[in-house]
Amino acid sequence: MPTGVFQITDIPEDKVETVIADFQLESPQPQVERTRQSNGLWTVTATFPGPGSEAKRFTG
Amino acid sequence: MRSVWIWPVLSLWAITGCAGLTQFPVTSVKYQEDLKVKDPDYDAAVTVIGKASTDEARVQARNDEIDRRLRVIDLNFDAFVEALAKENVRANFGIALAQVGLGAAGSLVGETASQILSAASGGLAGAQQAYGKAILYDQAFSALLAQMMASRKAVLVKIYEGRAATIGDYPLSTAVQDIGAYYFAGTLPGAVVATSADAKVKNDQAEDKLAKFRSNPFTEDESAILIRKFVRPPDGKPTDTVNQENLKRLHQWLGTSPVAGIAIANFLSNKELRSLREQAIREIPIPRP
Repeated sequence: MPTGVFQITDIPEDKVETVIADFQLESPQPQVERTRQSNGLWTVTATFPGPGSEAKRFTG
Repeated sequence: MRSVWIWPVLSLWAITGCAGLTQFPVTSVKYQEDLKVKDPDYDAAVTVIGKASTDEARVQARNDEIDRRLRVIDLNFDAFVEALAKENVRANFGIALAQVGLGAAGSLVGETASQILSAASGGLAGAQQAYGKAILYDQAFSALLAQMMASRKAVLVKIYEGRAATIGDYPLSTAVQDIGAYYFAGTLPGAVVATSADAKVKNDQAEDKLAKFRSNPFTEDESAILIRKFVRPPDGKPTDTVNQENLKRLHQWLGTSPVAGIAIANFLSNKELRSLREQAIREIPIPRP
């Protein structure tokens, strides 16, 4: 079960809903936020309950 | 290092309860007199070091004291392990009695096994359960002994490095502290503490391993599409209804995979995980069209 923050970047417009639906396959479901990048692609960020949910911990 | 000592203190507090617990070590106002009484060897070594006329002689005096203490600790440790092994053997013997129905095994175990090894000794009933407990004893003893050996070796390396240092870089007081850590590493509480610390390190490493899969650029290949169709038949579209049974099987596979804890969305869209997705398709298995 995922905990904390997960993110997918560079998503084409027509795949945003697919990515969100993929994140919603988890239980409990995360809070999902979508933001448009300057290049027109999208970033979807999912915050799951549990450790790390208050801070992003990405290596990239 | 500080955190290593916190756990035994907390454990002690938890075991004894806070009522009546002595909260501070004894302090002193006569350090020289107390030292002569409480650690005469240390006092003598300090005197020898203080009177030595060369750095080489001071280092030699310090190292002599280190060697004396290490040797005594090692001798006591060997005897301790030997006694512990005998306790373990007797614990298993008690369980064997229970297996053949001679009874009284519980009390035998309770009398002889050390506190940790006898933790599971209560309520022996039936050969199956007794067998399980025998395995538990063996595993607990072996694991704790291995931990003691490893921890002692780790501290010993530090002490040997110190032996080669000057008296200024590695004074006798520091050496004695390290020797205290060496002693503690060879105790059951020390092994439990080290095991807990080791578990935390492994947990942190596992978390770090997952960290690089928390964010990735979106990619899509045939393996991802096939898994989406499996979970949301027939086309894997966001509007298709989730097949809960298939989703459960995917969750179960992911839970035992090298990327356990990853979000399905990241698992499906990460370019680096293609071979792992192919593995999931084979092992779940997910039928190909």
